[in-house]
Amino acid sequence: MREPAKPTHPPAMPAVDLSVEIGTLRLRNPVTTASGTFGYGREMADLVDLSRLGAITVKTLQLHPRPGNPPPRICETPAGMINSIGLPGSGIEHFLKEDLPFLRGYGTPVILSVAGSRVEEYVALVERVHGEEGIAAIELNISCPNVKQGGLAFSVDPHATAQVVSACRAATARPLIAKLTPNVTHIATIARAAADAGADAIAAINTIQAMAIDVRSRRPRIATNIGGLSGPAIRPIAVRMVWEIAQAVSIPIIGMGGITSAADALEFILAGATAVAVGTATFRSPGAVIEVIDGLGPLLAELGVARIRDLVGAVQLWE
Amino acid sequence: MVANRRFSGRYRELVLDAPELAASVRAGQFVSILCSTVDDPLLRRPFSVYRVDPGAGTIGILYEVLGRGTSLIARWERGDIANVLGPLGNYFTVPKGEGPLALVGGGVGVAPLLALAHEVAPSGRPIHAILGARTASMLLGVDEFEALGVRVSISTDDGSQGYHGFVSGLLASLLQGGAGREPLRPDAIFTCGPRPMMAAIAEIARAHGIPCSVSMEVSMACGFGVCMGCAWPVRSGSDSDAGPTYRLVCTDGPVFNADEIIWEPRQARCACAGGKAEGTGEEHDHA
Repeated sequence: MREPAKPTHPPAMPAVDLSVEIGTLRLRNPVTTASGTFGYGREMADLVDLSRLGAITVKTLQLHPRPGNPPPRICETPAGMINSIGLPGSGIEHFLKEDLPFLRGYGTPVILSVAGSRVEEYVALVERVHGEEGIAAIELNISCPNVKQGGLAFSVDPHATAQVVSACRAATARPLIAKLTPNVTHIATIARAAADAGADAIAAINTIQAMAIDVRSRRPRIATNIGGLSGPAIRPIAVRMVWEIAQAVSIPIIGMGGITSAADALEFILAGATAVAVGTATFRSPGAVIEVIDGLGPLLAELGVARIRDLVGAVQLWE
Repeated sequence: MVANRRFSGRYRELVLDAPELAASVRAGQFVSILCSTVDDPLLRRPFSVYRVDPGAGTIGILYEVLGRGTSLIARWERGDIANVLGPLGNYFTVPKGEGPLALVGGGVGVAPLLALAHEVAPSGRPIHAILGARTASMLLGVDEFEALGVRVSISTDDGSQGYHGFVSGLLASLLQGGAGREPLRPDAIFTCGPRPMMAAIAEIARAHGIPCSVSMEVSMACGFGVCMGCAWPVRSGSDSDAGPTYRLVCTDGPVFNADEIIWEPRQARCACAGGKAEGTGEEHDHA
């Protein structure tokens, strides 16, 4: 196996404008991290220059600490992996006290990701960070089970989606990003419900429900039996869903699902995403998010495109 | 890559020219290796370092060809460049003193124990390696331990060499002594191998009041503490109702005090996995 040496600093930059806007949030480049794949930023600070990211999306936070799911939590699958981590974390208070001050030092916009099992928990989280400096936007991770509606994810249902988003909209002026599950029949319907309820952007997609079974032990390969598939295996599905969402809403989309390179990122942008997130690729290569950013300039230069925002939704469909 | 060759039996050895790693890696730590330049297999493979040569600037790992990742690694040739991340995780902590140390290994779990023997042997402290395998041809590291002046005891499940039975049975009999043999009285036990084996060793160590360190192996995605995929339940001091306490094998481990480990984790009862919640607020969800 031979691999080319990785660039340690940004390549000589052609005159390409990578900046994009998500509502009132301006990003120096369109690349952020997918929540749950980059810790709270601090864990990655020795491996990645955090000041170069378009934004840092932190691991989803909840009101209270949670232990997460029993092992095994992950298994590898063809060009992907299934996970059922269970949102472990020390909760919002610990983050605000210990992690947010650290992140402020980098000047990179921080996107807070929050989740709850009731609408009131989302609202409480959004209200709790009111006035906290250094939070550029809030991602509502509505792919979690909704206790009041029988444990189905909020974002499998347009009404539950609208309820969460509009309740949070009333509680904050900060940009709100609704992160949607792909485990629905028509994701565009859900996206429209989020947009109509006041979301400033859509993040898509979260992981796709999946299962793998060990044929010798006859046991599912993760302890919760079913988990979420991520990685390059899901990329074509994610691109299709981003394209469907882009047909249905006029708010910006943050596209994600198996992005490992600048060309992958551009696929999402052409499908209609304004920004993208790198997720599972970070597990394979901690510097993956930087490689994606560094690859965009040369790729756009090669394509003769001066501003990345000119490519948003620029896919040329067959007649 | 300096060498990639058959080591013994079914095991192979990979030697890497990696001066920075060789200068910093400690016994018990691991490295993770990218086995493919394409997207599949996706994840790195973690390997304990079994030998470090700071003078030559090399590190060695032992591996067994078990799946797609190790099959690819087995094809690499001298001169190839590998993408290696490390050193990762914590390392073995040896208690002060001059008393003997017992190293109990099974299968490729012998690797980090060999690294520990390399680290400790120069001090002259007595080391007793207790190695188990299914059958004699699958024993690993016997010659290497003996070359370091380590006393080696062997068990095989089929009785083809040494003690007939599990390595835990051999350890128990060595600790008990008898038949004209002085009982083994180690200051500490270090173990790495299949999980049921380590659970049995931990139980014996606890019964004898001997401190025991275990090196855990769990499926891992990242290896550096962000995916949270390699969590393992441990006993928490508080015994609260907040649920189990998990530690990450990659960054809190892989070496743990054996008393901390919960060997038989309660099976998952995940509401979202079953597709319906009981409304208890105890649901797990997918990160």
